[in-house]
Amino acid sequence: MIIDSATIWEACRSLLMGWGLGYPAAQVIMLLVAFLVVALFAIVLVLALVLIERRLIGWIQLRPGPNRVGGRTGWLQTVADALKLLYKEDIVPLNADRPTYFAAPYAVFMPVLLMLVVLPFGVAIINGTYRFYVVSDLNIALLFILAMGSVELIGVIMAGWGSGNKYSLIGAMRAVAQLISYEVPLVLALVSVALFAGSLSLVDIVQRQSSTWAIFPLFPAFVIFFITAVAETNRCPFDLLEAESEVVAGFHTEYSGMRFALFFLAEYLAMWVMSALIVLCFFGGWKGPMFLGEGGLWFTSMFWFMAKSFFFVWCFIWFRGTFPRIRVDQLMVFSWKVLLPVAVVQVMIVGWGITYRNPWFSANLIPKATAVEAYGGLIGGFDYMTTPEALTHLTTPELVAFGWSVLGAIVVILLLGAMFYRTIRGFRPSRDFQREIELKIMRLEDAKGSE
Amino acid sequence: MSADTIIIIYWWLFTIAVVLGAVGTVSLRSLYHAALSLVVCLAGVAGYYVLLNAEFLAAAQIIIYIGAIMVLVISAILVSENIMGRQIVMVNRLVWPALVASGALFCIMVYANMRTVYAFNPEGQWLESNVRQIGWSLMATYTLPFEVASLLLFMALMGAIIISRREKPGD
Repeated sequence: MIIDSATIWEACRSLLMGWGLGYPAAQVIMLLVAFLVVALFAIVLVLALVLIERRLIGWIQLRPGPNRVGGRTGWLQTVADALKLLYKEDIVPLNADRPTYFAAPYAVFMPVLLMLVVLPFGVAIINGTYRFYVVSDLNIALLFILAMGSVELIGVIMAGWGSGNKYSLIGAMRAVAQLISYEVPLVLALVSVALFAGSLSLVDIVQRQSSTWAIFPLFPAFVIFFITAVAETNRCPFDLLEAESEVVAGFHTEYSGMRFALFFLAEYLAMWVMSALIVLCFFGGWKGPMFLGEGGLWFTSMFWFMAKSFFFVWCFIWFRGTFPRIRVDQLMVFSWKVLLPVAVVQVMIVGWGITYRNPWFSANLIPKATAVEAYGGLIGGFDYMTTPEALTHLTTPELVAFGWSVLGAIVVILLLGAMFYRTIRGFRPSRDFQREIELKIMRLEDAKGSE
Repeated sequence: MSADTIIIIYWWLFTIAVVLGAVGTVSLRSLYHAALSLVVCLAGVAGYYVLLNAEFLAAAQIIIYIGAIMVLVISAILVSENIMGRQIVMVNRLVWPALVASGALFCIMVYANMRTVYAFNPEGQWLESNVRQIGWSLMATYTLPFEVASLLLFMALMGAIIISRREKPGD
């Protein structure tokens, strides 16, 4: 039994058409609704992200202020920031190239907003049908996101040149160099995912990760994707294009008020979109234990998706709090000499594994083969969590693959757990750095003494 | 107002973008602005691809033409100090032959456009995905031309590196 599936957007449109509206009217109304929902979600999300980032960075850098000022949790500070940006004077430099100066913030913000259109947030079962929470389940969703990322780059160049400022221009040139070189490993990491899932549609990619998350067979691709995602969103340690100590604020130095706010929104939204993409491509999207049963799937799927994506937002902020900014030459060398070869080898290995049906790379196909047998085709908990009963239906190579998945999961959890433990135990970079320097001095003195 | 009206509205939007972008590319005095209007033109062409039910081609158009080629063109303009920000005369004495040639091309394009069947059907459902078919034809039917093209590009890349490499005094 194949369960019919569609997006919640299409369901609402056919509901409107059922009320007697024509197709074009229903389409236009639903487009407006989708725009409102996406825009509201984006604004609320960015306000939340700014609050989270400020508090976390304050906590990591041992600055008590952000966690105490502004309401009990610091939320008032975010509201005050937003109001300040709204009321700030809008300054246009005399030297600016006016058309591009005015168009640039929109050219940066709109592509990022459009990326939200193809991200599936979850799934609900309505009348025995999967309804995915996504505005448009494009069959080229991954390519669409990459395309929007490249349009954003044009906006960055427009902002850098349009400001008529040397620092902005240098920031824009750095952006071109960095984003182009990091886009190559990013795309190659996504190619592994597309090969593994056999589709470019994000809904399909998530549905194919039923028994095993793609991170286990594709761990190197995940590491590459995470690093390049940090670089693509211009965040520390890859924030050379807006490095305060070198180029003031990079391409948006000359912007103020609402125009600056658009860049700001785009940056934080891109950070969330990238973590959502990590979750969708490597961590099974909305899949997780269905603790409310099938009827509550509409809630649990969204809960797991948001929980996982906010975990990766947390990782992004953790990155920023942990690593110092790298130099330009290190940036280029790292992309072209480390990430690119590893990504190419990864693609070759995945292609080999899929061509020769290596169980390690086709573990995602396990439940499709056994689900019908185990549950008579019903949408059980099976599609969302591997159950002990399902294990009895597996053949030997499938069992081997499952075992590898479990082993990989344990290793990853131990690794992340150890890193988390080190962080909350009070890892103080400055103190450790000081100790290292003292040790070096001692060693030097020892060397002198022995001479 | 029917579903066809919607597609006609989209078609006109893309057409306006393409025509304005193309006119801007050849008539704007600043090379940087000309390059940006070429971006608008190429984005409009990607829109046509969507109307022709070729989403993969549309995404490839944006990624390759806007994301790679136009970014390279713009950054080349930005680093050439003697043409950056200067107003250039975009016309020379070949303007009339060029106008005739492009007018002829325009007539052919209008004729081709009138004969094109747009793949959007009234129920609002897109046709079956053609990504898989493109993959099969590239990797099975036309493997040899595909590989030859990639070899050619690789040679061009190597050649560019060799030409632009600065000779070290020790070499």
